[in-house]
Amino acid sequence: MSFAPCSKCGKRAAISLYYMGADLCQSHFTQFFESRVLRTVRHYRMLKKGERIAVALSGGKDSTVMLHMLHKISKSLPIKLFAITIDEGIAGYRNKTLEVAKRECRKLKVPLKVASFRREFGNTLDFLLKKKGAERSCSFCGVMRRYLLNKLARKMGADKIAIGHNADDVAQTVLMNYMRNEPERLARFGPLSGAVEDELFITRIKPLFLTPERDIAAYAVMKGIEIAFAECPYAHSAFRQSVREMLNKFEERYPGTKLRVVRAFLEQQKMLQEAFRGKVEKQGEKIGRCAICGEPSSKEACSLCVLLDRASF
Amino acid sequence: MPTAKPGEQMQVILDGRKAKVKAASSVGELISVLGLAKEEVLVKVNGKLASDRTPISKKDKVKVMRVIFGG
Ligand SMILES: [Zn+2]
Ligand SMILES: [Zn+2]
Repeated sequence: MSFAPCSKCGKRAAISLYYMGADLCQSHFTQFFESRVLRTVRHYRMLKKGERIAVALSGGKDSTVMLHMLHKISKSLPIKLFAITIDEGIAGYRNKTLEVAKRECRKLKVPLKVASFRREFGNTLDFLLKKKGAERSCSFCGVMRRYLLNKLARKMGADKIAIGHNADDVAQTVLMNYMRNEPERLARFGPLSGAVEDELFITRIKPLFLTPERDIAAYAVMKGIEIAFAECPYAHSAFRQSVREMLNKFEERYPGTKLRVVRAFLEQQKMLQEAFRGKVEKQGEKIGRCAICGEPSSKEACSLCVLLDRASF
Repeated sequence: MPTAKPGEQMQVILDGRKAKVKAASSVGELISVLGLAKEEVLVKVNGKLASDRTPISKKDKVKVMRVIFGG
């Protein structure tokens, strides 16, 4: 019986990391994986002693692995974790990931709050999309999810919301912003976000910002974290899908491309923030409140209230 | 490293389903045979994740998992 060796110790290699040009055994991979997340959290000062962290837990691989990592960190840094899972009401999809969320929270003894679009907004996503058309499903769903997550986390006393965005998501978002020429949106994006300072907005942290998606899947498999590899039935943004495919092709031919895009963005982030965030603060503008629901909004009615036809003007 | 004879086939599990494919002598070669992108898959050999250069034969239990999804 022969095997291929780990580049570091010569034991049985469990994964080839193309961006590193190395093969790693299970123990060297998990060590590397965990220390990268830890470095990200420390470098961007994502967590402070005593903070209450709301983990946005979908039950997919990214947020589930993030929950495990934050739980691990909470053993040495006293933070209080709780999870929020949002049931959008997508038949045949969310039920599976909801089970994972419940099981993992039970395993780690992390309190879990399940909230649903149906209870909060009166209707499931399935129902709303039947009325509105499914073409913009992801942006509708995104607006609703962000709104609900922020509101719930705040009501539950969270200091931060942890989001499971990985390096693949980040690289896609960065390129999409370039391709659409939306630098002001990019200025608001980052490992620690909230360009708009407002006491009603909870700061969002992304501990997996520098961790590629494939590594997250590998970590889950190695740690025996059972993940529902379920795909959302709604057509994902065709544009994001194209960018994702392009990035994966580049990654295959030029390993390390995705992480270089992420690092290039991080280098430019300060300049972007100064250029765009500065303006708002200098003028002393404060974000207003939605006239309908009272949540923070730069317009008279927030995007959620507009989406749900609550606004009559 | 032993190379598979031309025309030889092997059985693998792809995303939970059995599949008969052209025999490959390593994990990396198998991914190419399947026409998949390395960046999107993980491979288990006899129950354990394995790197691309891991040798495989017909006797091994090989599981290929596509782990990167859209959206
Ligand atoms: Zn090793
Ligand atoms: Zn509103």
